[in-house]
Amino acid sequence: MKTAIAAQSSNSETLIDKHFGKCSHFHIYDDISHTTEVINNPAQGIKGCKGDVIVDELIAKSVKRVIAGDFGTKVQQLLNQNQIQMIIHPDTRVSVSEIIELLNHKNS
Amino acid sequence: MSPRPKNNRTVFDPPKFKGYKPFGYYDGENEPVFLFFEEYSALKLCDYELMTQSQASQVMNISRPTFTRLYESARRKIALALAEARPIEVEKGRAYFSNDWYNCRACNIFFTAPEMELSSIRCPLCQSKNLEEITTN
Repeated sequence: MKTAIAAQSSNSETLIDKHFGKCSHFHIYDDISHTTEVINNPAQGIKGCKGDVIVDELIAKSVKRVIAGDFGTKVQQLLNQNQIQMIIHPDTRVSVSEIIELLNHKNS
Repeated sequence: MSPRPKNNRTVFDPPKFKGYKPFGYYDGENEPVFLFFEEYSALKLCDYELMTQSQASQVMNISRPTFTRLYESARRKIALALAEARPIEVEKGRAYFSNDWYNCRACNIFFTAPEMELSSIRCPLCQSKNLEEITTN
């Protein structure tokens, strides 16, 4: 299963982002091949609602789960329609590598 | 004649806290103020996501005048809690969650579980089964 983590930069030691739509990069972790792909937020620079652009991009990458500090209302509706699991991590002092470690632990 | 029952208010994400407590000069035990989920949601949509009241009312599936009353009640409750140094507790009022949320008591995250059977739901990060369901019923 592919998991997209909203992050503050492209570095793997970076912290997760407080807001799903406004993050700078997404780290897409594949728990079958144990690989991480980093993509720029496709909606950067767009004002207003950017949910549809991001969700289309994530669906194209067959992401089934997303992690962020918080989700906007409109993007929640879209993710819900597309059966993508949302995870709200209220503690945004956690790094992307720590999250990947937790996701990994499950498979071992 | 009994009054017409209230419509359900659609709420998206649950609040990430169960309440707030004053601290400092006066932190004695006062009667808590009960803030409903839908009131929290109204305040968040208007003042955090910066929607207009008419947009927010469509999101919550209620009429614009009803939304305004809900928003006003939220503001008044919070002002009451601040002015009288009373703790705030959140409570489920007539909120209807658009999807079922779970809270993992071990790592304190919130998650949804689309297309999953109730018995197979575990915390996606720590695998704990110590979950609290935050749903409509």
